[in-house]
Parts: sequence; structure tokens; C-alpha cells
Amino acid sequence: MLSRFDYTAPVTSREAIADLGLPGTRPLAGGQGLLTAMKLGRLAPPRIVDLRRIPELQGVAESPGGGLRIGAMTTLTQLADVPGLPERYPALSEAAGAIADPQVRNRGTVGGALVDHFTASDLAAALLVYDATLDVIGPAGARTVAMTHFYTLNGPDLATADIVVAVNLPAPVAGWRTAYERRADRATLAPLVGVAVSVPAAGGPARVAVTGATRWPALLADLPAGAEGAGIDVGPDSRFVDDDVMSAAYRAHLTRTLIGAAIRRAGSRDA
Amino acid sequence: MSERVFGAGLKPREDPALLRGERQYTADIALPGTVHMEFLRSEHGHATIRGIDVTEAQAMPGVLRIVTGADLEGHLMPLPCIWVPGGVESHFPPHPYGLPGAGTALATGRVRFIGEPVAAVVAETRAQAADAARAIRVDYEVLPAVITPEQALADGAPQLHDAVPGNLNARWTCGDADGTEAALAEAEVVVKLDLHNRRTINSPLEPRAAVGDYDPLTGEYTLYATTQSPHNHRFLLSALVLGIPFNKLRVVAPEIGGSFGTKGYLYPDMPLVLFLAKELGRPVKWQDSREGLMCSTVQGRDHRQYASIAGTRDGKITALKCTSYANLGAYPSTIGPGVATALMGRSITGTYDIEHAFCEVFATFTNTVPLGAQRGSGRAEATFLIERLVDRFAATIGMDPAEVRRRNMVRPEQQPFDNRMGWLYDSGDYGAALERALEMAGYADREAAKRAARARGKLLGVGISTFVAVCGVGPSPRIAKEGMLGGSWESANIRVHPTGEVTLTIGVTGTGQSHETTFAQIVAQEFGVAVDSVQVLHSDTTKAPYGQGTYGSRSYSVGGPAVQIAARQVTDKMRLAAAHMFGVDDSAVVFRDGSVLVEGDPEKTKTFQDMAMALWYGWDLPPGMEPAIDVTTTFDPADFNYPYGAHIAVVEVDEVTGDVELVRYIAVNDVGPVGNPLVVDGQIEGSIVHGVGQALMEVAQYDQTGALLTANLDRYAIPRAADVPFFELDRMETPTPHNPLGAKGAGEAATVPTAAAVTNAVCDALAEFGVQHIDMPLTAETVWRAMNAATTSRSEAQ
Ligand SMILES: Cc1cc2nc3c(=O)[nH]c(=O)nc-3n(C[C@H](O)[C@H](O)[C@H](O)COP(=O)(O)OP(=O)(O)OC[C@H]3O[C@@H](n4cnc5c(N)ncnc54)[C@H](O)[C@@H]3O)c2cc1C
Repeated sequence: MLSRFDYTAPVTSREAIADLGLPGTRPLAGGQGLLTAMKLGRLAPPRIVDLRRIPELQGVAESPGGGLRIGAMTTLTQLADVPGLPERYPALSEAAGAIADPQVRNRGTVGGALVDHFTASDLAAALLVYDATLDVIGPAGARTVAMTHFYTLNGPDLATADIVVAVNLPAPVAGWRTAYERRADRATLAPLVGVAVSVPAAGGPARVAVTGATRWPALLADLPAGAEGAGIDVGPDSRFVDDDVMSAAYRAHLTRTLIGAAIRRAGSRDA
Repeated sequence: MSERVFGAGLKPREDPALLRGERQYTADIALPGTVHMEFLRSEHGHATIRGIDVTEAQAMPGVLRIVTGADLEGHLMPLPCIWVPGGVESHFPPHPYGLPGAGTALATGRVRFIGEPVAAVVAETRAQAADAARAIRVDYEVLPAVITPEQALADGAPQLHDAVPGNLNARWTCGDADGTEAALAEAEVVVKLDLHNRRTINSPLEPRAAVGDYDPLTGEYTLYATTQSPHNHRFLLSALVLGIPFNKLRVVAPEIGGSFGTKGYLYPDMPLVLFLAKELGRPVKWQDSREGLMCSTVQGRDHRQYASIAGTRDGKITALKCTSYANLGAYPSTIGPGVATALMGRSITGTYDIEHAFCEVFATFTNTVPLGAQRGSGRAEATFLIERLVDRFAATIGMDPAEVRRRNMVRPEQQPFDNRMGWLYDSGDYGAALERALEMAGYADREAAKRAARARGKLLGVGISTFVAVCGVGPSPRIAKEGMLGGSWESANIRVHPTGEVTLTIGVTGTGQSHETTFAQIVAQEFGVAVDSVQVLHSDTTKAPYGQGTYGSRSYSVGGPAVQIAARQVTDKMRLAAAHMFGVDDSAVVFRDGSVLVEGDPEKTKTFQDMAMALWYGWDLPPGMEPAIDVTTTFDPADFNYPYGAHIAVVEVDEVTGDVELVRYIAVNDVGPVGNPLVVDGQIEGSIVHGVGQALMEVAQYDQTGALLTANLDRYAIPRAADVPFFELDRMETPTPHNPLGAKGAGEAATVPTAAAVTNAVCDALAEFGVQHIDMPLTAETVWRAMNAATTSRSEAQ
């Protein structure tokens, strides 16, 4: 049951930042995470600020260097439908298409998917291996944050009233092949373990990002070529989440298994 | 009309409107002036209530009334428990009418589970009531909690109920204790198995709801509620809880969005909305949430079983013994104590002829949500036990588990068969069902299938489970012997209108199983009229004939015969009236295909509609015959009925991750002659999915304080469509002799063997690792751990 709250729907990010100044206020994107949390009584913001009317958060555009600029309000379905995405950014395409179910993807947005339940964000792992950055705007002005620095123990690096405006995806790096693998939680369908890999066709170490299994989405140490099975070093079990859904040891085991599967699949793609 | 309506797979007529959300559920009822009730629920598993301060809450906007346990004393009696297992000493909280109590509507003095209602707030809106409930201050003194039966029975354990020493509700026994011990002692082979059939939570789409209304002019109360037993609840609520005349309470069950047994129980909200509606002079509505459902609607299963099976090296089972610790939760739910004892214990021999069997159940109270039914209740727990044991026995003597089953199953010529534990099986060929399932599964080729899977990194396992499930509750005198305070007959009323359309009113209440279609088919078949001309009404106690409720797969197999008997009384009346009109002896007149006629005399024929009109006018009836057609019948079956079958699960276990995929599921069921195969297959498929859920993912987890860790669907996983393969179903149709339709229960039977079939398959897949048993749910990690543990212990042994 929802408790009482104010609602604003500003048309500029400036106004939005001002509206977000009231303590406890949350920005609203597709509502899949926020409204659910409010209905369950887990969050009771005094005000919600709807981001849907702000133009700069919308749309997906080619960026000058050959990459993509993805507005934070792009829905996950729109993202998965971007022409050429599977060929240019296979891991991102696979991650976007795997999130939850069609209903959540139809309303859930890229910005929301990076902030809400960030510990198990499929997109985060994919964006990490592509070296994506985020445009953020807030009371302190505009800044660009690397995905590799966005998550910390305290959650996403967003100050009060900060808004994620867009994701910048660099041009695909020639000769690297990527893939995404995940294992969904039976109840939520969110990833208990998600791994994105980027493998150089010419041989050499692979980049690996993991989500769900660790306390926040992060790059692991580069993986030497040819590592397989138990030889895949994911660090100590203690870096993995241990709870009554799954033990850290099993999460680490699954992570190794999924990395192996992702590398095999990436390697089998045309470069 | 010549094509058979009965037995045709007609699409349920109610489904389009249900699927479009156009039918009315309890939560849709909006009586003028309705106010809303919300509960403050206990946040402690076990605590003394030292005081409740409602001052702040009382002053909040829209708040009309706040009641606590103390306010109800002398007004609302405790909820009764009506199944007191017979023949044993049992201890219950007291009820002033000399019955066992099942807790008060609101906690008095002490809370015993997290989620127990402590106060009820009524306000103008639901949100105001919820806000005010949060503002109530309760001063608790937290007490240590007991979560498992072992903890409850331990020396010095915290005690839940003053009237229940040692937290022991009952030690229930059944069977031949001495003979079983002797047979175990003499046996060539004894195999032991300890298992935990863990707690599950029912997940109907619709959580419970109740609306209470009171008319001061007539003094009549009306309860609209998610109840699958409106008549029975009318009796219990009026006579035992509210203390008002039976005829001052009307109970209406609108559409019900699934139940699986849970909505046959009495819950605190039911009397409370009535009591408060009278006090406030306004209709009072309560709607549960999913979180509320998960911490207050009865939960299922929860037995810890220690069992032994004995037999000869050539595969003859000679004895079976089970000691089970059942977890009843904090209070005895309406029929929970019987479910956990008799329904489970009498069923442990399954489809087998076992000469010596004995079962004892320690039914205990703990600080958890009260236990009740879940589809297949009791029988599923028993079947899981025996079917796992048979596989373990087969593995121990090195015999094919199918062959062990063949050698021990009850043979058709033994029917009716006394299982020596209290059930008299009725009819059927259990072995034939098994052979059919084995053939469909390609069981003979399983080694080749295993090799092929192995090449893909998968461990293939095949699991068999047979079952026979007592259903169709039941002959009333027999129910009395089981200690259930209730009748268990059913009734039906048929009115044939002057124009020939028909209204059938049944005593049973559907919870989504297409009653309006299937029951119309019985009538249409008997009358030879179009099925669309038969209207079906139900579930309103002022309009429907008495019924005893929908549970134990009894709607069709007990309610259906009542309908058929009523229909035959109608056609008989038409025949007698026609004989009089034709001026012939009634022996010359037959009713066939919608007409009364005299064989060989085409002049002497009248249609069903002609006769309906003739009886309506009543101008020319035989002496003594009453005009009009309005027939009510009751039916009390001669005995229970016993659907049975054989199921086979084929799983593939990933050898690296332990992931279990159910790749095939074969089910041969005999639920007697089938009135609507589409509906029955729907029930069978849903039942199987239920069992798969328990096998692979469902489990209610509590911590030591009694907090439910799996308190919403984000933590309590239930199966989705993609988790199951397309089912391979076949049917046998052996009538039960106990009702004229020959029908056996079909609503829950197929849940009974499923968890065992899947678990047997997984254990078969892992046999090469030396895995003997894994407790459900068989999550990937659980399976992975079992593989690793078995591998490690073997390499250590080397
Ligand atoms: C049933 C279910 C299953 C799910 N399964 C998955 C899964 O498999 N994989 C996965 O990755 N995720 C999963 N999720 C999470 C899902 O991706 C997010 O809930 C969804 O994408 C959030 O997007 P939204 O637009 O609906 O955000 P909202 O619900 O509107 O907002 C979510 C949070 O993000 C904040 N926020 C939103 N946009 C911005 C912005 N531009 N700047 C700053 N803060 C912002 C909000 O204030 C709020 O705190 C699941 C969620 C649900 C409900």
C-alpha cells in the first residue's frame, strides 16, 4: 500500500535537481523498482520526481567517435532493439535482453537498471567490460563517471539530487569479442551471478566483469588466456556474497563456470 | 441431441470473464459506506504482551475503531479446531463450548508467531487504517521461541500453551506396532531413511479477503469472503464464534482466485469484520496483501520423518515403520491436526501390499504460522516417504526400482484392498498404470539415454513414483470416526423452468476449477438439453442448498453424484407425468435424448420443454404428484474414493553446476470416468507443477526468532511455465463403486506423487556419486554440495 507523497514532473534537469532537494525524495523512471519498494513499504519518499519529460535523458544516438550515447530514460526494450546492437555490443545486447521479463523491460529504464538493485544489475557488468562512462548531473554540476568507479560499498556514486543523464559507450574495440552469461535467481529472475567477458581475438588476457555474485558489480583481474575450470581465478570466496539464497563458495564456483562458458561463446564469434 | 456432453472437453464457460477480470472477487465488493480494516501483526515469534497503547493511533485521521484481544472477550469466542484425531490423547487450547480452541481472533496476553494479529484498526480508507496500525505501540516482553518439533519437545523448551504440556498436541499412532517391530528384526534387509519434508507456502493468485455487513433492521449479518466452505463456515462462525442464530448469518463466496486448501480454514478476519460491521453500523472490508498471506495463511507439509523399510533380497517388502515429527505451527488450525496425523499416517503404505506397517506422529506446536492443507496434503508427505524408501530399498538389494514396485503393488484382484492403516482402496489396476508409464517413458532404453546425456555433460536420471490418494471426503459416519466435527455429504438443487431452461444450484464452491461448466455437463447429459441452457449457481448460503465445502478433491466426486441423482429424479418425474398424460402405464414410458416417449408409438412423445411446461401448469398430473420441478438431493458416499497412478520424471543434472532440469514428465492417472477431460487435465497439470515446485525450489525458511525469511515472492520461489516441460499424460478410467458417477478425486491427486518422482530422478542421476538422498528443495547448490560431499567422502575412504 502506498503512503502519501508529492509528485512532480519537471521538464528540465535543472528543475528536477531543485525538486530533488527535499530530503528523501527519489527520482522516478520506469517505476519497476521504486514503486515496488514503495508498495511494499520498504521506501516512503515524501516526493517523487518523474524524469520522463526531460528531453536530454531520452533517446539513443550515435556519438562522434563511433560509440553510442544512451539516454538514461531509454527503456530496456528500446535498448535491446537498437539496430546493430547484437553485432556491435553482443554482451550488452545479451544482458539487456535477459533482464527480468518483458513487462519489466518495457517499463524499466537504463538509468533505473543501473541504480535500482545495482548489486545484481545485468547492464552494469556489460557496461564495465566496454569501459562505458556515465553522464551525471546534480547540484554540484555535470560530471562524467567511469563505470569502473561508479559502484562502491555504499552503492552508486550519486549524491543527493544527482541524476544519471546518459550512458556513453565507446566504439567497439576492433578484434575484441564479448559475451554475457548469467544465472537467474528463481524467485526474482535477477542475476545471482552475471559475467561479461571481452576476449582479444589475437590471444592474450580477457577482461571479465561480474555482477550479482559480488557486493557490487566490478571488473575482476584480467584472466590469462587459456584459463579454464578451476584454473579461472576469481579471487577469494570472501569477496562473494554469502546469504541464505546461496553460499559464497557456490557463487564463486558458478562465476568460474559462467566465465568459462562466456569465453567459449565469445571466442566462437566472428571477430 | 445425440452427441455426448458428458465427457466432452468443453472450454470452461467461466474462463473468458475470469481472464478478463470481469468476475467479482471479494476485494471487488464495494458496498455503500464501506470502511476498511487493517491488522497490526506481531513482530515477535514469541512474546508476552505487557500493554497496548492505541492513543496516538486512535487520534489519527479517519480512524473509527481500534480493537485488541481484550475488547473481544465475551463477544467473540476463540476459533474452533474441528479435527481432533481420534483414538489418541490430544491437548488443545480450550474453547468455552467444550471444543478445542484454535486461538483467539486477536492475540490475548501472548503472541505465538510473527504475523499473528494483535489489533485491528478500522478507518475510512485502507491507507488510513494501515497508517494507524503502524502507530499502535505494543509493549512486548520477548520470550525464547521454538521453531522445530525437536526444539518444541526438548526438555526445558519454552512452552507455548498452558493447556498443552511439552508443546505436544498429540502422539498419534496407527498400524501394527509389535508386528512391525518383529518383522523389522527378522528381515533380510532393513533400509533406513531420515528425511525432512519441509514447510511450504501456498501461493494462490488471490490473497484472502473478507467483507462484513450487518442489517440492524433484520439483525442479519452477511459475510463475503474467500471461503471454499461457505456453509460450514456459516455454521462455525454463527454457532461457535459469534454466538448468533444460524439463520442470522449469510455467507457468500464470490469468485475465488485459487486456494489449494488454504481457504477452507477459519481466520480471524472473518468474525472480526462481522463484529465490527455491527458495532460501527457500516460494512467493513479487509484485504490481505501477499506479505500478509505469506505470514498468516496456513502453510503446508513440514514433517521430519525417521523411517525404516524391510524386505527380502528378492524384493518383497515385509515391513514399514515411520516416526514423524509434525510441525503444527503456533495454533491448531481448523483441520490442521488431522492433516498432519491421520491423513499422512494412514497413507504411508502407498500402492503397496505391506503386511506390517506402523506410523507414529508427534504433532507439536511451534512459533511458526499454523499448518494446514496444501494440495495433496498428508498424502503427498506419505507418498514422498514410501516412494523414496522403495527406491532406497531397490538400490540396496540391487534390483530395478520398477521391478520392486511390480512385486509389491496391490493387484487388481485384491480390490477392495485394506491397506491395514485405515484405508480401504476401492478399485483399479495399479500395476497397469505403472506399465503404461514405463512404456511411455521408454524406460527400457534409459541406459542409452543416460549415455547420450553424459556426452553433453549432463547426468540423466529417471524417477518413478506411484500413488494412491484418499480423496472424495467422505462418508459422514467415517469422518466422525476420524474425529472430524462435521458432515461430509453434498447436495444439489435443480429447478426446471416452464420454458425448459434449467438452474442447477450446487452446495460446493469452486476456487477456479470450472464448476459452472462441468456440473452443467452432467445435467445437460441427463436431460438431453443444450449445455448452455443449464445455469449453475453456488456459494451463497441463502440461495444454495447445503454443502460441506470444497476440500479433499470432493467437489466433483461427492457433489457431482448429488447432481446426477437430482437430475434423475427430474427425468423420472417427467416420465411419470407423461405416462399419465399418454394414458399408459409408466413402465411403458422412457426418457431418452431429451424426450419422454413410448417405444414404437411415435404419437406418444413429448419433449423436455413440453414436460417442463406441463409440470409448471400442473393441469393434468397423476394423483398425488406435486406440480413444478424443484428437486433437492443430498449424497453421502459409501466410502472415500482412491485415485491412483504412476508418474515418471526424467531430469538432467548439470555435472558442473548441479542445475536440475526437468526434461520429461510422464503421468498416468486414474481418476475414474472423466466429465470434462480438458478441465481434469488442467487440474492434473497444475497439480504436477505444484509438486515440481516443492521438489525444486519451494521452501519456507524461518530463523530462530520465528521470522519468516521467505516472506514474499522475491524470496519464495514458485515455478514458472518455463520450469516444466510439456507433460506426457495418459489416463485410465476405473470407476469407484462408491458413487454413481464412478468419479474419483482429481483436483489434487497428481500433486501427491510428483515431488517423489522428481527427487527419485535426481537421486538416480547422482547414484554414481554415491548420493543416497537429498532433502527438497533440490536447488542447484544443494545438488552440487551433495555431489561434492559424496565425491569427497569416497575419495577420503579410498
Ligand atoms: C521483478 C523484477 C525483476 C528484475 N530482474 C532484474 C534482472 O534480471 N536484471 C537486472 O539487472 N535488474 C532486474 N530488476 C531490476 C530492474 O532492472 C529495475 O527495477 C528497473 O530497470 C529499474 O528501472 P526503472 O526505470 O523502472 O527505475 P525506477 O523504479 O523508476 O527507479 C529505480 C531506482 O533508480 C533511481 N533512478 C531511476 N532513474 C534514475 C536516474 N536517471 N538517475 C538517478 N537515479 C535514478 C530511482 O530513484 C530509484 O531509486 C528487476 C526488477 C523487478 C521488479
